[in-house]
Amino acid sequence: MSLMIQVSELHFSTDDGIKVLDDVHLHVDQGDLVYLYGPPLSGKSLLLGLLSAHIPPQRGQILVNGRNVTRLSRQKTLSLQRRIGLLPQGFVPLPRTVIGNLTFKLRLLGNFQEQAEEKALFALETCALLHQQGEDAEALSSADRLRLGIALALCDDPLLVLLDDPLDGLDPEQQGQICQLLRRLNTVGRTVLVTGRVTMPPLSAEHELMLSEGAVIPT
Amino acid sequence: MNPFLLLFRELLGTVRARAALHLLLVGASILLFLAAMSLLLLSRTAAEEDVVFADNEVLVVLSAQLSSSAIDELYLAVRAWENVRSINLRFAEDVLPGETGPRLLINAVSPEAAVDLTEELAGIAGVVRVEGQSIESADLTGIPLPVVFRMGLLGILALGLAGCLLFARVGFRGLLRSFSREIRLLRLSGVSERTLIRPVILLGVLLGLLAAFLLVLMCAVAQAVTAATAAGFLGLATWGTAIQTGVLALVIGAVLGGLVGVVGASMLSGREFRPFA
Repeated sequence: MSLMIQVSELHFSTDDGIKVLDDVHLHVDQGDLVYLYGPPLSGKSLLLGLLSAHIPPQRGQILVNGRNVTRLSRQKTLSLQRRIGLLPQGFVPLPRTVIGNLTFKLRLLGNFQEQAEEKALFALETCALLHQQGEDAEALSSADRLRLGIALALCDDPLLVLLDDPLDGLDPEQQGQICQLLRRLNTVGRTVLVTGRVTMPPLSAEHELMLSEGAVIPT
Repeated sequence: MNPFLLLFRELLGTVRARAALHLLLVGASILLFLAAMSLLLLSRTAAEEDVVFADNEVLVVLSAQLSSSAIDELYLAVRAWENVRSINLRFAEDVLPGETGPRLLINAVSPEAAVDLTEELAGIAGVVRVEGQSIESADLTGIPLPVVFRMGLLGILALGLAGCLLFARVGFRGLLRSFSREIRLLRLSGVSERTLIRPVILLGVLLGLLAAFLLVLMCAVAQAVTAATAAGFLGLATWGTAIQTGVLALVIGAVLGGLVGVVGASMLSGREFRPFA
């Protein structure tokens, strides 16, 4: 199985000199479902920002799909970012319809209207939001908002899906439904990396890792 | 619709009343700037005003080498001419500061007589040149403005520039804040900075062009509707001047609008528009 993410000797400190990531090593194969958990402010979101090339690393090496993130040109960084579906923490939908959220992103990534609608409908169907496509996205329940966020991350057929703390604020039943959705995404061969604070979510991930004191520890 | 125009349309769609008001003030400031600039370009200084003659006046510039008796002779001879109503001898400094040599300021009986006088005087020995309404001053168009007024226009010019930059900061900040979720989503998705910046700059350019177009429209209306004297006062004695002013206003309006757009686009680098602040 080919390698999707390889992180080695990754260090990151804040401007005040506080070490957030200290010699992080991470290895994720293509098609893996990985759950990375840790306490708040342990650097989970930072690690996702580094993996998706939105934050430049200070020290260390990050390979995503065989590309060294630290050495990519601006253009290649953008094309890598287009192949990564990222759901940020505390996702808030755009003030549009549910399908409008997806077509907005897809159209601006260069898809034609018909193509954008087709991709959007497919992503909504995957996330069980098809019947709510015409609703106001801001009026959705928190679980449905999360589904929309996942649909946004998925809609342009990414190689890698990074979900930052998606289970936060959901009740156990909703968590179960979202975990089911994430497993379904993974069964089609997509690499999914999920972060969270809960130690044992009902995710059944192949790899569960803990981010503690700046380092990734397999559990 | 291509992504650029789509994003521009979406950006316009999020304009709220407060941001719209500030952006209109940007347009008004650009209009003020362009109006002051056009007036400055079209106006003449007080010094230029001094060389303007009445229709029946002729100024004869005599050689500085001419003796006083020769000047007296010429003075008396010209005074005796039928088409001369009055004649005055003046020192050059009284007429044009910085020049030397005596001058004869002749008042002809009519504008037609002044033209004849001009031709006759030009052929006399000792006359360096003859100036009158029919020769140089006819080319002098524009609004006669005193220096104080021109200084005031310079102040308005600076005020307009400062106003449009200030309102641009407030207006674009409001506009971009209401579009911040979209900007963050697009940055997360790998959309280039150029794609995000261009619609903001276009909005600035359109504001500048709109202000310039309004100015051109106002000038055209003044040219077409008002009486000849009023049009003359506006400095738009010919359609050619009006078109020149209009084209210049459009170009400077677009440039100033572009500058305003750059001010707006510079705010995109703020933390609130970054997916990972």
